[in-house]
Amino acid sequence: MYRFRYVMIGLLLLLFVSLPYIRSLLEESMVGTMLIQYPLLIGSGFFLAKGFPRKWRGFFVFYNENGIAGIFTAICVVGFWLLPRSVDAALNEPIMEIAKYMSLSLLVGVLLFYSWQLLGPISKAFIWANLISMIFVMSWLYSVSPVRLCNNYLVTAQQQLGKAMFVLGVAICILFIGRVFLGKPEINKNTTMKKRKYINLNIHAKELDERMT
Amino acid sequence: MLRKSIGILFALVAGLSLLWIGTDGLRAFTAEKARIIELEREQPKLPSATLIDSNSENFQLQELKGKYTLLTFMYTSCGDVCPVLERNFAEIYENIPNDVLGKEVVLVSISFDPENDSPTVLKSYSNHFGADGEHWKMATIQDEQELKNVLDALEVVVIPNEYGGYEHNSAFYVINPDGKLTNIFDYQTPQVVVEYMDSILF
Repeated sequence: MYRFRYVMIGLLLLLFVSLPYIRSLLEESMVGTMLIQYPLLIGSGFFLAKGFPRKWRGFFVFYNENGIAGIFTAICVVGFWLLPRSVDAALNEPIMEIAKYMSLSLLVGVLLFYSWQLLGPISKAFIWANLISMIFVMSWLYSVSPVRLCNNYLVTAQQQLGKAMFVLGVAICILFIGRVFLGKPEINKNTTMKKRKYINLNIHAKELDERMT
Repeated sequence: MLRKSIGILFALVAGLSLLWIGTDGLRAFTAEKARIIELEREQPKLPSATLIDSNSENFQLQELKGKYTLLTFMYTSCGDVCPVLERNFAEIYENIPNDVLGKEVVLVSISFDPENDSPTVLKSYSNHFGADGEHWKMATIQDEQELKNVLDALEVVVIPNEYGGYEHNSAFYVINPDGKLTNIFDYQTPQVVVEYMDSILF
C-alpha cells in the first residue's frame, strides 16, 4: 500500500506540472522553469521510483553498485537541460518539451533515487561541494551576463534568475550548517505505542536522542 | 568490479556524447550561437517581400539579387541595442570603398515595427546615421505575413518587452548575390565584416 502511495504521488506530481495552465505559468519566467519546474519534474520521478517494486531494484543496482554510473548519467542529462539552447528548444518545439518531461522525470528522478543511496560518503561530499559552488558561479554568471542567453526570455528575467539562484545557494549552505548544530532530521515512523511525552515532536534529532537515552 | 566499470564507462560515453551533440561540439551553448552555426550551414534563401524605404519608394527584396546585401533588423524607438547596431553598420558603410558601394554591395536596415516607423521617421533616422537612402536603405515591410516570413527565414526572434519596445537578437546578415544567407556576424565587431567583404570582392 505504501508503494502504491509513492507511485500516485509521483504520477500526480508529473500530471500537475504537465497541465497546460501550470506549464504556461511556470514557463513565463526563467526562475519558474529552472528552479521550480525542473525540481518538480525530478522530484516526481524520485517519488515514482520510490514506489517501484523490489524486483526492479536489481536492474538498477546491477551495473551501478557504487552509484557513480547512475549519478553521472543524471548529472549529464540535467546539464543538457540547463543549457540555454535546450531551454529555448524546449519552449519552441513540442518534441523537445516531451523529451524534457520524459527524461527529467523518468530518467533523472529514477536514477537519482537508486544511485544516491548507493553512493559512498566521498562521492556524496564531492557532489555536494561541486553543486553548491556551481550554483553560486551560475548565479553570478546569470546576473552579470551582458548578452541575452535565452531567446525566449528578457535580460531582466536572467538577472532575476541569478538572484534566485544565489538565495538557493545560501539556503543550502544554511541547511548544512544547521545540520552541524542540530543533527540530521529523522521523520519518526513508528507505529507502536510510545511512552507519553510532555512535548510531542514529530521530527527527532537523531544524535540528541541517542545522547539522552 | 567489471560490472561497475562497464556501467561507469557506458554512463561516461552516453553522457558526454549527449553534451557534445547538444552543444554542436562544445561550440554553441546558447540558442543564438546554435542558430548562427545552423544558418551558416543551411544557407536559406530570402523570401520575397515588398519594402518601403525612407523615400517612400517600394522595392522588392528580389531586386537586390546580383549584389551582396548586408542586412540588419532594428526599430527606431529602440534604446539600447539598435543605436549601437546601426552605429557599427555606419562604420561598415564608411569603410567600404565608394566604387563597389551600390554596384556590388548594398546595405539595408529593415525595421520590424511598421506602424511606428513611417518613411519620414526612417528618413530622420537615416540622416542621423549618415545613410544616403540609395546604397544604404532603411525600410519597413508593410505586409505582416511577409515580415513574419522574412524574420522566420533568418530566425530573428522578436519579443515585445514591458516598456513598449521589443527585445530581439541582433547581428549583421550577409546575403550573397543569389539571395542566400551565407554569413552572420556579431554586431559588435564591424571590422570583421569589412575584412570579410574585402576578401570576397578583391
